[in-house]
Amino acid sequence: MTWYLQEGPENDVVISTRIRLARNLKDVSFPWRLSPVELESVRDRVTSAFRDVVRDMGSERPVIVELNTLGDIESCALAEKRIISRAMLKDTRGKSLLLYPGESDGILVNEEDHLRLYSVGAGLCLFKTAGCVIKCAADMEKRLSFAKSDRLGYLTACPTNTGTGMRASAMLHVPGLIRAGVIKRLADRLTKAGYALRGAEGEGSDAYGDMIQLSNQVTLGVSEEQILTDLDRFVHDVAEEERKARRALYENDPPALEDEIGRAKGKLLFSRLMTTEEAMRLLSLVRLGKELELPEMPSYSTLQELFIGIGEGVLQQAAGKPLDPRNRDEERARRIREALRSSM
Amino acid sequence: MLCQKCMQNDATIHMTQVVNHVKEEYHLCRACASALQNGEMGSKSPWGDLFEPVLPGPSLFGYPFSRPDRRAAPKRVVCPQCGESERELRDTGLLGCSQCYETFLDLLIPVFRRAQGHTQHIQVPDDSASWIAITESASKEEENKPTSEIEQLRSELRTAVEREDYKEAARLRDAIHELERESST
Ligand SMILES: [Zn+2]
Ligand SMILES: [Zn+2]
Repeated sequence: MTWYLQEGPENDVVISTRIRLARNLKDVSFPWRLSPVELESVRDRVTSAFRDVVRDMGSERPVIVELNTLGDIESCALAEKRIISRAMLKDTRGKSLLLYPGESDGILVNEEDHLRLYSVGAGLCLFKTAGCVIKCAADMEKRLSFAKSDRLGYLTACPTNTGTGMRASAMLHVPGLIRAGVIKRLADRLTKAGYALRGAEGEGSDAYGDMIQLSNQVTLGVSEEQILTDLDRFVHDVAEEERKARRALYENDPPALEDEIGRAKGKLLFSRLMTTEEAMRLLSLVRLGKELELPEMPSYSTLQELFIGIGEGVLQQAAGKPLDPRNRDEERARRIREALRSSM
Repeated sequence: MLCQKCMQNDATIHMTQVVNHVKEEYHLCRACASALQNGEMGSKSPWGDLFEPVLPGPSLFGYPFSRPDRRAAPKRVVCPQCGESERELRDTGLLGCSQCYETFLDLLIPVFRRAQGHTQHIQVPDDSASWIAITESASKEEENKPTSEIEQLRSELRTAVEREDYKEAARLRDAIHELERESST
Protein backbone atom coordinates (compact mmCIF):
# COMPACT_ATOMS: atom_id res chain seq x y z
CA MET A 1 0.00 0.00 0.00
CA THR A 2 1.34 3.38 -0.91
CA TRP A 3 2.55 5.55 1.99
CA TYR A 4 -0.07 8.28 1.91
CA LEU A 5 -2.93 5.89 2.59
CA GLN A 6 -1.28 4.89 5.86
CA GLU A 7 -0.94 6.57 9.21
CA GLY A 8 2.47 6.57 10.83
CA PRO A 9 4.17 7.59 14.08
CA GLU A 10 3.90 11.29 15.07
CA ASN A 11 1.26 11.66 12.37
CA ASP A 12 -0.23 14.69 14.11
CA VAL A 13 2.78 16.71 12.91
CA VAL A 14 4.90 14.56 10.63
CA ILE A 15 3.30 13.75 7.29
CA SER A 16 6.01 11.62 5.74
CA THR A 17 9.61 10.47 5.86
CA ARG A 18 11.78 10.11 2.81
CA ILE A 19 15.31 8.78 2.38
CA ARG A 20 17.33 8.68 -0.78
CA LEU A 21 20.74 7.22 -1.53
CA ALA A 22 22.92 8.38 -4.43
CA ARG A 23 25.02 5.67 -6.10
CA ASN A 24 27.07 5.55 -9.30
CA LEU A 25 28.44 2.75 -11.40
CA LYS A 26 32.18 2.25 -11.21
CA ASP A 27 34.11 3.02 -14.42
CA VAL A 28 31.33 5.01 -16.09
CA SER A 29 31.28 8.83 -16.12
CA PHE A 30 28.46 10.53 -14.21
CA PRO A 31 25.24 11.07 -16.23
CA TRP A 32 25.84 14.71 -17.20
CA ARG A 33 29.07 13.69 -19.02
CA LEU A 34 27.42 10.88 -21.00
CA SER A 35 26.07 10.77 -24.55
CA PRO A 36 22.48 9.56 -25.11
CA VAL A 37 23.79 6.15 -26.19
CA GLU A 38 25.94 5.83 -23.06
CA LEU A 39 23.00 6.90 -20.89
CA GLU A 40 20.89 4.17 -22.42
CA SER A 41 23.57 1.60 -21.73
CA VAL A 42 23.67 2.65 -18.05
CA ARG A 43 19.89 2.49 -17.95
CA ASP A 44 19.88 -1.02 -19.39
CA ARG A 45 22.51 -2.28 -16.93
CA VAL A 46 20.65 -0.87 -13.95
CA THR A 47 17.28 -2.07 -15.20
CA SER A 48 18.52 -5.60 -15.76
CA ALA A 49 20.01 -5.76 -12.24
CA PHE A 50 16.74 -4.40 -10.89
CA ARG A 51 14.73 -7.09 -12.67
CA ASP A 52 16.93 -9.76 -11.09
CA VAL A 53 16.52 -8.26 -7.63
CA VAL A 54 12.75 -8.09 -7.90
CA ARG A 55 12.57 -11.61 -9.32
CA ASP A 56 14.63 -12.91 -6.37
CA MET A 57 12.18 -11.20 -4.03
CA GLY A 58 9.60 -13.51 -5.59
CA SER A 59 7.51 -10.53 -6.58
CA GLU A 60 5.24 -9.86 -9.48
CA ARG A 61 6.49 -7.87 -12.43
CA PRO A 62 8.23 -4.64 -11.42
CA VAL A 63 7.09 -1.33 -12.87
CA ILE A 64 9.62 0.24 -15.21
CA VAL A 65 8.86 3.70 -16.56
CA GLU A 66 10.99 5.34 -19.21
CA LEU A 67 10.55 9.04 -18.66
CA ASN A 68 10.83 10.00 -22.34
CA THR A 69 7.75 7.89 -23.11
CA LEU A 70 5.58 9.69 -20.58
CA GLY A 71 2.93 12.22 -21.53
CA ASP A 72 2.63 15.61 -19.83
CA ILE A 73 -0.12 14.52 -17.48
CA GLU A 74 1.71 11.41 -16.26
CA SER A 75 4.97 13.29 -15.70
CA CYS A 76 3.15 16.07 -13.90
CA ALA A 77 1.44 13.50 -11.67
CA LEU A 78 4.79 11.87 -10.79
CA ALA A 79 6.17 15.29 -9.86
CA GLU A 80 3.14 16.03 -7.68
CA LYS A 81 3.65 12.74 -5.89
CA ARG A 82 7.25 13.93 -5.35
CA ILE A 83 8.61 10.84 -7.04
CA ILE A 84 10.50 12.83 -9.64
CA SER A 85 11.54 16.47 -9.66
CA ARG A 86 10.28 18.90 -12.27
CA ALA A 87 13.90 19.62 -13.16
CA MET A 88 14.27 15.99 -14.18
CA LEU A 89 11.60 16.48 -16.86
CA LYS A 90 13.61 19.10 -18.72
CA ASP A 91 15.73 16.42 -20.33
CA THR A 92 14.35 12.91 -20.12
CA ARG A 93 16.79 11.07 -22.40
CA GLY A 94 17.96 7.80 -20.88
CA LYS A 95 16.14 8.52 -17.62
CA SER A 96 13.85 5.98 -16.08
CA LEU A 97 11.98 5.18 -12.93
CA LEU A 98 12.07 1.68 -11.44
CA LEU A 99 9.34 0.99 -8.89
CA TYR A 100 9.45 -1.81 -6.35
CA PRO A 101 6.13 -3.50 -5.63
CA GLY A 102 4.19 -1.43 -3.11
CA GLU A 103 4.97 1.93 -4.70
CA SER A 104 6.84 3.35 -1.74
CA ASP A 105 10.37 2.42 -2.88
CA GLY A 106 12.02 3.06 -6.19
CA ILE A 107 15.12 3.96 -8.16
CA LEU A 108 15.56 6.97 -10.41
CA VAL A 109 18.08 6.20 -13.12
CA ASN A 110 20.35 8.81 -14.73
CA GLU A 111 19.26 11.80 -12.74
CA GLU A 112 22.27 13.66 -11.33
CA ASP A 113 23.71 10.26 -10.39
CA HIS A 114 23.31 6.88 -12.10
CA LEU A 115 21.08 5.63 -9.30
CA ARG A 116 18.99 7.55 -6.83
CA LEU A 117 17.32 4.96 -4.61
CA TYR A 118 14.49 6.25 -2.46
CA SER A 119 11.95 5.09 0.04
CA VAL A 120 8.98 6.96 1.52
CA GLY A 121 7.02 6.16 4.66
CA ALA A 122 4.05 7.66 6.48
CA GLY A 123 4.70 9.71 9.61
CA LEU A 124 8.11 9.83 11.27
CA CYS A 125 9.90 6.55 10.52
CA LEU A 126 13.48 7.44 9.59
CA PHE A 127 15.04 4.16 10.62
CA LYS A 128 12.43 1.94 9.04
CA THR A 129 12.57 3.90 5.79
CA ALA A 130 16.38 3.92 5.82
CA GLY A 131 16.31 0.17 6.40
CA CYS A 132 14.23 -0.30 3.24
CA VAL A 133 16.37 1.85 1.00
CA ILE A 134 19.67 0.52 2.35
CA LYS A 135 18.50 -3.02 1.71
CA CYS A 136 17.52 -2.06 -1.84
CA ALA A 137 20.96 -0.52 -2.38
CA ALA A 138 22.72 -3.56 -0.92
CA ASP A 139 20.78 -5.88 -3.23
CA MET A 140 21.73 -3.78 -6.23
CA GLU A 141 25.36 -3.63 -5.10
CA LYS A 142 25.51 -7.43 -5.23
CA ARG A 143 24.96 -7.15 -8.98
CA LEU A 144 26.58 -3.81 -9.84
CA SER A 145 29.92 -2.31 -8.76
CA PHE A 146 29.42 1.15 -7.28
CA ALA A 147 31.98 3.97 -7.37
CA LYS A 148 33.48 4.45 -3.93
CA SER A 149 36.76 5.14 -2.23
CA ASP A 150 38.14 4.39 1.23
CA ARG A 151 38.71 8.01 1.97
CA LEU A 152 35.50 9.53 0.60
CA GLY A 153 32.91 6.75 0.63
CA TYR A 154 30.37 6.71 -2.20
CA LEU A 155 31.37 9.04 -5.03
CA THR A 156 28.64 11.25 -6.48
CA ALA A 157 28.44 13.87 -9.22
CA CYS A 158 27.93 16.70 -6.75
CA PRO A 159 30.32 16.98 -3.80
CA THR A 160 27.40 17.85 -1.52
CA ASN A 161 26.35 14.17 -1.66
CA THR A 162 29.73 12.45 -1.35
CA GLY A 163 30.22 9.96 1.47
CA THR A 164 26.99 8.30 2.46
CA GLY A 165 25.10 9.70 -0.54
CA MET A 166 22.20 9.87 1.87
CA ARG A 167 19.58 12.58 2.10
CA ALA A 168 17.04 11.94 4.83
CA SER A 169 14.04 14.21 5.14
CA ALA A 170 10.78 14.58 6.98
CA MET A 171 7.76 16.57 5.86
CA LEU A 172 5.99 18.38 8.68
CA HIS A 173 2.69 20.20 8.93
CA VAL A 174 3.41 23.28 11.05
CA PRO A 175 0.52 25.80 10.91
CA GLY A 176 1.21 26.75 14.54
CA LEU A 177 4.86 27.64 13.98
CA ILE A 178 4.12 29.51 10.77
CA ARG A 179 1.47 31.65 12.46
CA ALA A 180 3.77 32.23 15.41
CA GLY A 181 6.38 33.53 12.95
CA VAL A 182 9.23 31.45 14.30
CA ILE A 183 10.17 29.45 11.21
CA LYS A 184 13.12 31.64 10.33
CA ARG A 185 14.59 31.27 13.81
CA LEU A 186 14.17 27.49 13.67
CA ALA A 187 15.74 27.39 10.22
CA ASP A 188 18.79 29.31 11.39
CA ARG A 189 19.24 26.97 14.33
CA LEU A 190 19.08 23.88 12.08
CA THR A 191 21.36 25.38 9.44
CA LYS A 192 24.11 25.93 11.99
CA ALA A 193 23.94 22.26 12.87
CA GLY A 194 24.19 21.16 9.24
CA TYR A 195 20.49 20.47 8.71
CA ALA A 196 18.09 22.36 6.48
CA LEU A 197 14.53 23.54 6.86
CA ARG A 198 12.64 24.65 3.81
CA GLY A 199 9.12 25.22 2.58
CA ALA A 200 7.40 22.42 0.76
CA GLU A 201 7.50 22.76 -2.97
CA GLY A 202 4.38 24.30 -4.41
CA GLU A 203 3.48 26.19 -7.51
CA GLY A 204 4.29 29.77 -6.68
CA SER A 205 2.29 30.01 -3.49
CA ASP A 206 3.96 30.74 -0.19
CA ALA A 207 4.18 28.20 2.61
CA TYR A 208 2.31 25.66 0.53
CA GLY A 209 -0.14 23.86 2.77
CA ASP A 210 1.80 25.03 5.86
CA MET A 211 4.31 22.26 5.23
CA ILE A 212 8.05 22.31 5.77
CA GLN A 213 10.78 19.82 5.07
CA LEU A 214 13.67 19.05 7.40
CA SER A 215 16.71 17.30 5.94
CA ASN A 216 20.38 16.64 6.51
CA GLN A 217 22.92 18.64 4.52
CA VAL A 218 26.06 16.83 5.58
CA THR A 219 26.80 13.47 3.94
CA LEU A 220 30.54 13.16 4.53
CA GLY A 221 32.26 12.33 7.79
CA VAL A 222 29.10 11.28 9.58
CA SER A 223 27.66 7.79 9.64
CA GLU A 224 24.19 7.03 8.34
CA GLU A 225 23.15 6.12 11.85
CA GLN A 226 24.33 9.49 13.19
CA ILE A 227 22.51 11.41 10.44
CA LEU A 228 19.27 9.60 11.24
CA THR A 229 19.65 9.90 15.00
CA ASP A 230 20.29 13.65 14.82
CA LEU A 231 17.51 14.30 12.33
CA ASP A 232 15.11 12.22 14.41
CA ARG A 233 15.92 14.37 17.42
CA PHE A 234 15.46 17.63 15.47
CA VAL A 235 12.14 16.47 14.07
CA HIS A 236 10.92 15.53 17.54
CA ASP A 237 12.00 18.95 18.84
CA VAL A 238 10.27 20.83 16.04
CA ALA A 239 7.16 18.65 16.41
CA GLU A 240 7.06 19.40 20.11
CA GLU A 241 7.32 23.15 19.46
CA GLU A 242 4.60 22.89 16.86
CA ARG A 243 2.27 21.15 19.33
CA LYS A 244 2.85 23.91 21.85
CA ALA A 245 2.32 26.62 19.24
CA ARG A 246 -0.96 24.99 18.17
CA ARG A 247 -2.24 24.70 21.67
CA ALA A 248 -1.35 28.33 22.36
CA LEU A 249 -3.05 29.37 19.14
CA TYR A 250 -6.18 27.47 20.11
CA GLU A 251 -6.29 28.49 23.75
CA ASN A 252 -5.83 32.13 22.84
CA ASP A 253 -9.35 32.18 21.34
CA PRO A 254 -11.01 28.77 20.88
CA PRO A 255 -14.22 29.96 19.17
CA ALA A 256 -12.25 32.04 16.66
CA LEU A 257 -10.05 29.14 15.56
CA GLU A 258 -12.95 26.67 15.59
CA ASP A 259 -14.87 29.11 13.42
CA GLU A 260 -12.01 29.45 10.96
CA ILE A 261 -11.60 25.69 10.74
CA GLY A 262 -15.35 25.10 10.53
CA ARG A 263 -15.68 27.56 7.67
CA ALA A 264 -12.80 25.88 5.85
CA LYS A 265 -14.54 22.53 6.21
CA GLY A 266 -17.80 24.05 5.01
CA LYS A 267 -16.16 25.43 1.90
CA LEU A 268 -14.48 22.11 1.16
CA LEU A 269 -17.78 20.27 1.61
CA PHE A 270 -19.93 22.54 -0.50
CA SER A 271 -17.81 24.32 -3.11
CA ARG A 272 -18.27 23.58 -6.79
CA LEU A 273 -15.07 25.22 -8.06
CA MET A 274 -11.77 25.15 -6.25
CA THR A 275 -8.21 26.14 -7.23
CA THR A 276 -5.20 24.20 -5.94
CA GLU A 277 -4.07 27.15 -3.82
CA GLU A 278 -7.42 27.56 -2.11
CA ALA A 279 -7.76 23.81 -1.59
CA MET A 280 -4.31 23.56 0.01
CA ARG A 281 -5.04 26.45 2.35
CA LEU A 282 -8.41 25.00 3.42
CA LEU A 283 -7.15 21.42 3.73
CA SER A 284 -4.33 22.67 5.94
CA LEU A 285 -6.87 24.30 8.25
CA VAL A 286 -8.98 21.14 8.39
CA ARG A 287 -5.88 19.10 9.12
CA LEU A 288 -5.18 21.51 11.99
CA GLY A 289 -8.69 20.75 13.23
CA LYS A 290 -7.93 17.04 13.13
CA GLU A 291 -4.62 17.62 14.89
CA LEU A 292 -6.38 19.59 17.64
CA GLU A 293 -8.82 16.68 17.94
CA LEU A 294 -11.85 18.79 17.13
CA PRO A 295 -14.96 16.68 16.46
CA GLU A 296 -16.03 15.43 13.02
CA MET A 297 -12.77 15.80 11.15
CA PRO A 298 -11.63 13.54 8.29
CA SER A 299 -8.89 10.96 8.81
CA TYR A 300 -5.22 11.75 8.25
CA SER A 301 -5.06 9.32 5.37
CA THR A 302 -7.97 11.05 3.60
CA LEU A 303 -6.28 14.41 4.05
CA GLN A 304 -2.95 13.05 2.83
CA GLU A 305 -4.59 11.52 -0.20
CA LEU A 306 -6.23 14.85 -0.98
CA PHE A 307 -3.02 16.84 -0.48
CA ILE A 308 -1.56 14.70 -3.24
CA GLY A 309 -4.67 14.05 -5.26
CA ILE A 310 -5.68 17.63 -6.07
CA GLY A 311 -2.68 18.57 -8.19
CA GLU A 312 -3.49 19.07 -11.85
CA GLY A 313 -1.49 16.04 -12.98
CA VAL A 314 -2.97 13.50 -10.56
CA LEU A 315 -6.41 15.00 -11.10
CA GLN A 316 -6.29 14.63 -14.88
CA GLN A 317 -4.73 11.19 -14.61
CA ALA A 318 -7.60 10.06 -12.39
CA ALA A 319 -10.13 11.59 -14.78
CA GLY A 320 -8.43 9.73 -17.62
CA LYS A 321 -8.40 12.76 -19.90
CA PRO A 322 -6.96 16.27 -20.18
CA LEU A 323 -9.08 18.95 -18.53
CA ASP A 324 -8.99 22.71 -19.05
CA PRO A 325 -8.36 24.87 -15.96
CA ARG A 326 -12.03 25.46 -15.24
CA ASN A 327 -12.89 21.79 -15.54
CA ARG A 328 -9.96 21.02 -13.28
CA ASP A 329 -11.33 23.37 -10.61
CA GLU A 330 -14.70 21.65 -10.93
CA GLU A 331 -13.24 18.16 -10.79
CA ARG A 332 -11.04 19.12 -7.83
CA ALA A 333 -14.04 20.43 -5.88
CA ARG A 334 -15.97 17.25 -6.65
CA ARG A 335 -13.17 14.94 -5.51
CA ILE A 336 -12.73 16.89 -2.28
CA ARG A 337 -16.46 16.83 -1.51
CA GLU A 338 -16.70 13.10 -2.08
CA ALA A 339 -13.57 12.20 -0.15
CA LEU A 340 -14.56 14.30 2.87
CA ARG A 341 -18.15 13.05 2.92
CA SER A 342 -17.09 9.43 2.92
CA SER A 343 -14.48 10.02 5.61
CA MET A 344 -16.55 11.84 8.25
CA MET B 1 31.97 42.54 -8.65
CA LEU B 2 30.16 40.04 -10.86
CA CYS B 3 27.15 38.00 -9.83
CA GLN B 4 28.24 34.55 -8.63
CA LYS B 5 25.39 32.81 -10.40
CA CYS B 6 25.09 34.28 -13.89
CA MET B 7 28.58 35.83 -13.96
CA GLN B 8 27.19 38.57 -16.20
CA ASN B 9 25.45 41.25 -14.17
CA ASP B 10 26.96 43.27 -11.34
CA ALA B 11 26.36 41.77 -7.94
CA THR B 12 24.23 44.18 -5.95
CA ILE B 13 23.03 41.80 -3.26
CA HIS B 14 25.53 40.58 -0.73
CA MET B 15 24.67 38.07 1.94
CA THR B 16 26.49 36.27 4.68
CA GLN B 17 25.50 33.02 6.21
CA VAL B 18 27.05 30.67 8.73
CA VAL B 19 27.04 27.04 7.73
CA ASN B 20 28.76 24.40 9.82
CA HIS B 21 30.44 27.22 11.73
CA VAL B 22 31.99 28.56 8.52
CA LYS B 23 31.05 32.01 7.30
CA GLU B 24 29.80 31.96 3.73
CA GLU B 25 29.31 34.96 1.45
CA TYR B 26 26.98 35.23 -1.52
CA HIS B 27 27.20 37.96 -4.14
CA LEU B 28 24.30 38.02 -6.57
CA CYS B 29 22.57 40.33 -9.02
CA ARG B 30 18.97 41.28 -8.33
CA ALA B 31 17.59 38.88 -10.95
CA CYS B 32 19.51 35.86 -9.68
CA ALA B 33 18.73 36.68 -6.05
CA SER B 34 15.02 36.82 -6.74
CA ALA B 35 15.20 33.70 -8.93
CA LEU B 36 16.84 31.98 -6.00
CA GLN B 37 14.14 33.16 -3.62
CA ASN B 38 11.44 32.04 -6.01
CA GLY B 39 12.92 28.60 -6.00
CA GLU B 40 14.19 28.43 -9.55
CA MET B 41 17.57 27.32 -8.35
CA GLY B 42 16.41 24.77 -5.83
CA SER B 43 13.51 24.22 -3.55
CA LYS B 44 10.95 26.90 -2.86
CA SER B 45 11.51 28.98 0.18
CA PRO B 46 8.43 30.78 1.39
CA TRP B 47 10.53 32.82 3.78
CA GLY B 48 12.28 34.94 1.23
CA ASP B 49 15.75 35.33 2.62
CA LEU B 50 16.10 31.70 3.54
CA PHE B 51 18.94 30.39 1.46
CA GLU B 52 19.88 26.83 0.96
CA PRO B 53 22.81 26.30 3.28
CA VAL B 54 25.08 25.42 0.43
CA LEU B 55 24.22 26.43 -3.07
CA PRO B 56 24.98 23.67 -5.53
CA GLY B 57 26.53 24.76 -8.79
CA PRO B 58 29.32 27.20 -9.52
CA SER B 59 29.31 28.92 -6.14
CA LEU B 60 30.34 25.63 -4.56
CA PHE B 61 33.85 26.13 -5.83
CA GLY B 62 33.89 29.82 -5.03
CA TYR B 63 34.17 30.67 -8.69
CA PRO B 64 34.93 33.38 -9.67
CA PHE B 65 35.78 34.61 -6.19
CA SER B 66 38.09 31.84 -5.11
CA ARG B 67 40.82 33.18 -2.94
CA PRO B 68 44.10 32.83 -4.82
CA ASP B 69 45.91 31.08 -1.97
CA ARG B 70 43.25 28.37 -1.94
CA ARG B 71 43.69 27.49 -5.57
CA ALA B 72 46.17 24.81 -4.86
CA ALA B 73 45.48 22.80 -8.00
CA PRO B 74 47.64 23.87 -10.92
CA LYS B 75 45.92 25.41 -13.92
CA ARG B 76 44.87 23.32 -16.90
CA VAL B 77 44.27 20.17 -14.92
CA VAL B 78 42.14 17.76 -16.93
CA CYS B 79 40.73 14.47 -15.71
CA PRO B 80 42.51 11.68 -17.62
CA GLN B 81 39.42 9.50 -17.52
CA CYS B 82 36.50 11.74 -18.51
CA GLY B 83 38.28 14.84 -19.79
CA GLU B 84 36.65 17.32 -17.41
CA SER B 85 38.71 20.48 -16.98
CA GLU B 86 39.09 22.61 -13.87
CA ARG B 87 37.14 25.31 -15.65
CA GLU B 88 34.20 22.93 -16.28
CA LEU B 89 34.28 21.82 -12.68
CA ARG B 90 34.08 25.41 -11.47
CA ASP B 91 31.33 26.22 -13.97
CA THR B 92 29.08 23.28 -13.17
CA GLY B 93 30.00 22.42 -9.60
CA LEU B 94 29.80 18.78 -10.73
CA LEU B 95 32.46 16.12 -11.01
CA GLY B 96 32.60 14.16 -14.26
CA CYS B 97 33.56 10.71 -13.02
CA SER B 98 34.96 8.91 -9.99
CA GLN B 99 38.52 9.55 -11.23
CA CYS B 100 37.78 13.31 -10.99
CA TYR B 101 37.83 12.91 -7.22
CA GLU B 102 41.54 12.11 -7.40
CA THR B 103 42.29 14.57 -10.19
CA PHE B 104 40.73 17.50 -8.36
CA LEU B 105 41.27 16.42 -4.76
CA ASP B 106 43.13 19.62 -3.84
CA LEU B 107 40.23 21.71 -5.09
CA LEU B 108 37.69 19.48 -3.41
CA ILE B 109 39.11 19.49 0.09
CA PRO B 110 38.18 23.14 0.82
CA VAL B 111 34.75 22.53 -0.73
CA PHE B 112 34.19 19.55 1.56
CA ARG B 113 35.37 21.57 4.52
CA ARG B 114 32.90 24.33 3.70
CA ALA B 115 29.91 22.34 2.54
CA GLN B 116 30.27 19.27 4.72
CA GLY B 117 32.42 20.30 7.66
CA HIS B 118 34.42 17.08 7.14
CA THR B 119 36.93 15.82 4.60
CA GLN B 120 36.86 12.12 5.29
CA HIS B 121 34.21 9.43 5.11
CA ILE B 122 33.41 7.40 8.21
CA GLN B 123 33.88 3.74 7.46
CA VAL B 124 31.10 1.57 8.70
CA PRO B 125 31.28 -2.21 8.44
CA ASP B 126 31.15 -2.90 4.75
CA ASP B 127 28.49 -5.57 4.81
CA SER B 128 25.13 -3.93 5.03
CA ALA B 129 23.87 -6.69 7.31
CA SER B 130 24.88 -4.88 10.48
CA TRP B 131 23.26 -1.75 9.16
CA ILE B 132 20.04 -3.49 8.43
CA ALA B 133 20.07 -4.91 11.95
CA ILE B 134 20.45 -1.40 13.41
CA THR B 135 17.61 0.03 11.36
CA GLU B 136 15.39 -2.93 12.13
CA SER B 137 15.72 -2.63 15.87
CA ALA B 138 15.34 1.16 15.71
CA SER B 139 12.31 0.93 13.48
CA LYS B 140 10.62 -1.48 15.90
CA GLU B 141 11.04 1.23 18.50
CA GLU B 142 9.53 3.77 16.14
CA GLU B 143 6.50 1.61 15.60
CA ASN B 144 5.96 0.87 19.25
CA LYS B 145 5.85 4.53 20.14
CA PRO B 146 2.22 5.30 20.87
CA THR B 147 1.28 8.92 20.28
CA SER B 148 -1.28 8.98 23.05
CA GLU B 149 -1.85 12.08 25.09
CA ILE B 150 -0.03 10.57 28.01
CA GLU B 151 3.04 9.78 25.91
CA GLN B 152 3.05 13.30 24.60
CA LEU B 153 2.91 14.71 28.11
CA ARG B 154 5.76 12.43 29.14
CA SER B 155 7.94 13.65 26.32
CA GLU B 156 7.08 17.24 27.20
CA LEU B 157 8.02 16.47 30.77
CA ARG B 158 11.43 15.22 29.62
CA THR B 159 12.09 18.39 27.67
CA ALA B 160 10.84 20.57 30.54
CA VAL B 161 13.25 18.83 32.92
CA GLU B 162 16.04 19.19 30.38
CA ARG B 163 15.59 22.93 30.19
CA GLU B 164 15.18 23.04 33.98
CA ASP B 165 11.70 24.45 33.82
CA TYR B 166 10.54 22.86 37.05
CA LYS B 167 7.30 24.79 37.30
CA GLU B 168 6.18 23.42 33.93
CA ALA B 169 7.51 19.98 34.86
CA ALA B 170 5.40 19.94 38.01
CA ARG B 171 2.32 20.91 36.01
CA LEU B 172 2.98 18.14 33.50
CA ARG B 173 3.60 15.57 36.21
CA ASP B 174 0.21 16.40 37.75
CA ALA B 175 -1.46 16.13 34.36
CA ILE B 176 0.14 12.72 33.78
CA HIS B 177 -1.00 11.45 37.18
CA GLU B 178 -4.47 12.71 36.46
CA LEU B 179 -4.55 10.78 33.18
CA GLU B 180 -3.14 7.65 34.78
CA ARG B 181 -5.83 7.78 37.43
CA GLU B 182 -8.50 8.16 34.74
CA SER B 183 -7.25 5.21 32.75
CA SER B 184 -6.98 2.92 35.78
CA THR B 185 -10.59 3.46 36.83
ZN1 LIG C 1 23.15 37.12 -11.77
ZN1 LIG D 1 36.74 12.58 -14.53
